Amino acid sequence: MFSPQFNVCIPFLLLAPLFNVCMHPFFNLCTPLTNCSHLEVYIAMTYNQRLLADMSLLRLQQKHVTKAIWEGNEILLRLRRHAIYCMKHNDRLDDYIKNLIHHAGFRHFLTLTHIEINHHLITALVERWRTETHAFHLSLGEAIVTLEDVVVQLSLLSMKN
Amino acid sequence: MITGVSSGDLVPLYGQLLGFVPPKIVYKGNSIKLSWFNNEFQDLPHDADDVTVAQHARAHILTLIESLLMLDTSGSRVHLMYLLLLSDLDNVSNYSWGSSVLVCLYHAFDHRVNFNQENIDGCTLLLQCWAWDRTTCLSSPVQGLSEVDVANGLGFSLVKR
Repeated sequence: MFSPQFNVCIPFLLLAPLFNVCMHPFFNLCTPLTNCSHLEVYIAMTYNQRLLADMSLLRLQQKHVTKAIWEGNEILLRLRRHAIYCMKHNDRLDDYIKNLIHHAGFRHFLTLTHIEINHHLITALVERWRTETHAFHLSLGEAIVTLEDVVVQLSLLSMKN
Repeated sequence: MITGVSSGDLVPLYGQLLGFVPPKIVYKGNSIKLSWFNNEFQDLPHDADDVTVAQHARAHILTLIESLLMLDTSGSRVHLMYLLLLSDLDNVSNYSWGSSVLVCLYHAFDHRVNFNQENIDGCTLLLQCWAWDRTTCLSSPVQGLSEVDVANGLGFSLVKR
């Protein structure tokens, strides 16, 4: 019964009381367990490439990209990037046009400098996305991009005023 | 609420809203080559009236939306589905652009994880900035903001990285 995988679990179990981390048991990579009754679940996760014992909620696992990744078909995402004239040549835009773009609520995009998108970061994040809950399942719990983030990051309003 | 018209013939609108009718070679269905779009709207004529200025602003906003905020996987083409929403530029800021950007992003994630696509559309810029913001160990260093920057509303993360 005490397989090598079990030994791998031991350090996490010992550390468990030190971290009172959110115990959402989705896709945890190294989340410590505070409750020993979860031991079996945890061993199952380690054996079965860290899937939940109870997959009733994540019912689309068969279609999920993790299946392909575990079979060795990992791919780096290709992102669409286009040159956008009004961002690249902001200084050549006429003030009248700038005013209208400001007025329409898109003014922050004219102030953007060139930002490199990290393909690896995007790929890693999107692999952890779950369609059933519409959230990223990370080792510390679930995370989600909200409307508030859109407002803060892109300054695009989602409601009037 | 934002919905775009993706079917039907939008050619009659080109002349009215954008001030040109594109040659047949650059459009397919209702989408136009981005490179042609960028070339056509580079410089505002010196004797431009309000209508021409509005047409140029519409074109720039449309390229921003289609090439940065709500990308599709069609490569380097600009779809004109949102052009109708830009007909009254005073009203553009009343639309909930933020929520549609978020919906497009969720849709892109769903497609990636369920169909194992190699390309990803949606606003990956938003995802990266969100990840940087929420997981500071991932982010590149932030340059300091001066008081003038803050006063100009440049305090959000995109600008200073």
